[in-house]
Amino acid sequence: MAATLWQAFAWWGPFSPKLFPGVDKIVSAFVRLMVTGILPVHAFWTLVRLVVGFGLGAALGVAVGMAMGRSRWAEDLLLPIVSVGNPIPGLAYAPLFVIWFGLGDVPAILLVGFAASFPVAVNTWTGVKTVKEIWIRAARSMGAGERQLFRKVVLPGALPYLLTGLRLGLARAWRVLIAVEMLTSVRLGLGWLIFGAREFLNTDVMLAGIAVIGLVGLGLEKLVFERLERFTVVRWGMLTA
Amino acid sequence: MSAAISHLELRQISYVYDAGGRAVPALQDITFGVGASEFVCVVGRSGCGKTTLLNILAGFLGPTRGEVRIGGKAVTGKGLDRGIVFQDFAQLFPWRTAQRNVEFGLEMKGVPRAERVETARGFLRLVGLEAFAAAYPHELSGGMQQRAAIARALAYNPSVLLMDEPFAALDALTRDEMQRFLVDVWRETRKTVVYVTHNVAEAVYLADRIVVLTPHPGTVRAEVKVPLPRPRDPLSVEFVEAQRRVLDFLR
Repeated sequence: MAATLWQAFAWWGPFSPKLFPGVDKIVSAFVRLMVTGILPVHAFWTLVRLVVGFGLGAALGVAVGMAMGRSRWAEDLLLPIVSVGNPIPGLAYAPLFVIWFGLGDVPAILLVGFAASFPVAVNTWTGVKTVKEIWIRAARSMGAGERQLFRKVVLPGALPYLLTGLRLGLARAWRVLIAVEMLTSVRLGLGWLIFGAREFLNTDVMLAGIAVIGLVGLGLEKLVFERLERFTVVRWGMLTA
Repeated sequence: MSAAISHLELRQISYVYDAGGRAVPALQDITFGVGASEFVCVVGRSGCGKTTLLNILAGFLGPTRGEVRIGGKAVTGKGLDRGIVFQDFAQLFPWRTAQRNVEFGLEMKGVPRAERVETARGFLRLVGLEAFAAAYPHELSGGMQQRAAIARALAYNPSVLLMDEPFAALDALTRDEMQRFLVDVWRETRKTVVYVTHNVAEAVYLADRIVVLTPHPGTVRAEVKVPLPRPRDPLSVEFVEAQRRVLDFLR
């Protein structure tokens, strides 16, 4: 249905076929770039940046969120920063990061991590706050110390929110990453592929790149997060599927 | 006093809490003892401080004055010598199966895994949940969740079992069934039990002795022995008579 509309627009719309390629052109560009290994290589490097950047950001976000949830002092100190920082689009910092860290992978990865850490921190904090008091009391009455309480009660108790935070953080990381790849001139990457293709009006390549971005995003959601949730919080009845 | 030496002793416990700068006495000079393997119910209307009292026994609150002694030793804070069952079904950890919930206290105690599994299984059997060992709490009915909570509180072998209206949120039929079940479990394990409730019939059904609290501030109004043989018949004349005696103190 969407493909049909697209095709109709390509034929009868105001754009020339060069600027607005038909579905057939996009698919053939996609296949060509896949077979020649160009798309997989770009996608691979984008994913590497995503994994490293998001990994750093998630670790930072969980640590900050946990600290805020567990200590009044950390909450007073960090909550204003996190609250103000959270709604700012990560990309706004991109020029700063380029000035600080130059071009290439380093600013891209750091910015991705930085942008991802905010939703993770906010949701982890909320998660810790919603851990039921009665679980804490039950665990304490059975002799749980601070560490055991944290590992065996607070962490799993906060997991529904924590997973939501990771999911939002990953979505944000993904968005920032594609954009920042266009800005920091990385050597290989989907954002850079799309940006570079503009020079030669290779709209079919650009759209093939966009399709991969969509597919990867969908894959992360379906294969990683839905599974993670199904095996944990859904199975535990803490979240209805 | 039913036993010459009480296993659990409350000595002149008072508790004052702070309500916006005003000191409000919640409990005043609560003194009574519970013999080893004795089943004592603390009965009172809402607001008489019975839950506060249980929280002091559990070690969640420190008394303003007075002390709690178990086996002759003063206790402060929480300890594995007491097991606690709350009213709220949510007390079980939703991310652990029934089996793993029951294992929790043993885990904290550092009991090796094989032994832990074995012991927990035994207590699930005791409460009739052996077939549900692998079930998560949300898959169990309210009554079953409370059974699992009882098994969890017993598994690490505390000498005292503290129960805070554990059956109050159950429907009437399940509640009757759970009361019968609790008497069986108590007879089998011989724990010293302090059971808080506002339900006089429940107290008469369960207790060897009933401590009646009256509010503002919470004080011991009376101690009523229930010398009826078990299992008790709630429709018998003696049972109704015992209920009336308790109710007279509550009016």
